[in-house]
Amino acid sequence: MSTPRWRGTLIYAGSLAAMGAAGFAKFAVLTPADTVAESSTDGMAASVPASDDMSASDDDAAGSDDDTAAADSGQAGSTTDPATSTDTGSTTSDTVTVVGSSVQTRYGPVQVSVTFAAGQITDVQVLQVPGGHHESVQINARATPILAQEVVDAQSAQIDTVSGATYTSEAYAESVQSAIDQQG
Amino acid sequence: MRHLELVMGIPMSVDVRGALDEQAERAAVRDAFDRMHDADRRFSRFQPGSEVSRYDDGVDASTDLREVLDIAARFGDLSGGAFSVRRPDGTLDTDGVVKGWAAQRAADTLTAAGLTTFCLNAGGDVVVRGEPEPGRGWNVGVRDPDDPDAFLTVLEVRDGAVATSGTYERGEHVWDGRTGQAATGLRAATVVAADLTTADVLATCVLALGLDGIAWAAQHGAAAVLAVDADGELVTAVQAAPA
Repeated sequence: MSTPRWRGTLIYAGSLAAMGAAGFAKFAVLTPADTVAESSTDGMAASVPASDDMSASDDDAAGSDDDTAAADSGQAGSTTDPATSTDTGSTTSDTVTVVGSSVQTRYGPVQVSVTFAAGQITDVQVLQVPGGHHESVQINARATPILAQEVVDAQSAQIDTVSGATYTSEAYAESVQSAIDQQG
Repeated sequence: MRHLELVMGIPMSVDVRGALDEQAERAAVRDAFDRMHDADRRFSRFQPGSEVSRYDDGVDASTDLREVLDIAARFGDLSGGAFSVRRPDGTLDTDGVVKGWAAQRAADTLTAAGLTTFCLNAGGDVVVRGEPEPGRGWNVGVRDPDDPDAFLTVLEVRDGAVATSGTYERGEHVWDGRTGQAATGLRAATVVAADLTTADVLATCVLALGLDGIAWAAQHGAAAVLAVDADGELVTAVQAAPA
């Protein structure tokens, strides 16, 4: 096990807590209520991302759900038909807003819209997050803002990936990615 | 290229940089994800026909399952029994080893295919190779379990792995094998190690061991450990430099 190399790669960032805390407050506002209200409630039905070769339907792993968290997950979520959710959104001058795929997680669907200006991501809005399930709400209150930050930060090459953000947040990234893919 | 896919019910992604042959790159990524799907099918304790299920019915373990069980036994011994692939109810549950092990094997597949620069994120557990930009390692943000707007830190990693185990998203899914009780001493533990098999198992060990596990992991293969205790305090340990 080599050691000195690792010691040099740790950036403790001062007190370790301040990192990234500032400047992204706008992404912390979650407003899923309006989209949830008009959604159907087809529970565990998988929303397969419409983009390319992602085999999200290969979901035999549904049976391997962690039993402490997943017993009734998903059923509380509201789902938007993915076929209608991948349309390219509004366009104003050189600004384009693209709606990402609705990505099914064990907690419910996750969907975002991404705004591009001159080819750069300028905003990420959460359209759909799992709701109505206590744990899901807690998860999203924490995971979603960070991932908005991750997406924007990744463009500025500050954060390449996140350790510790798992199910919901990865689905968030997947929805963002599908929007990027649509935008080309 | 970037690719995301559900494996083991968990979205996993890979970010490959600088590959020369796009077709070979796609084939390598496909192969890597296929191997993770394969591990899921074979080691799910929820599928009656899986190797894990059949092992408990008395069927001999395959080479891969033996490897997984050997890793579990090794870290079980090292941790004084805190790490265990036997759930408190006696069920064999190899998830604590298989996720990191399978993702590391997938990363090895990419390396074997000639890819030198990539970041594989398996549901928050990360393997990186090379540098995304000349002179800069991969910046891996470690999520603060308590603050949605903050990272605990950012780790710059070139060839290595970062795994995080916590109670904040999946609930108390880690148990202390010595007592059978849910591990509650720490909210989250992040381990940096040379490979993800080690990092992932050690992160689970730290959670199972609680505060004592932090320094322990730094003596058993962790290059660095960051943990958040039950009071929200950050505790860290770094592997001692060779004497």
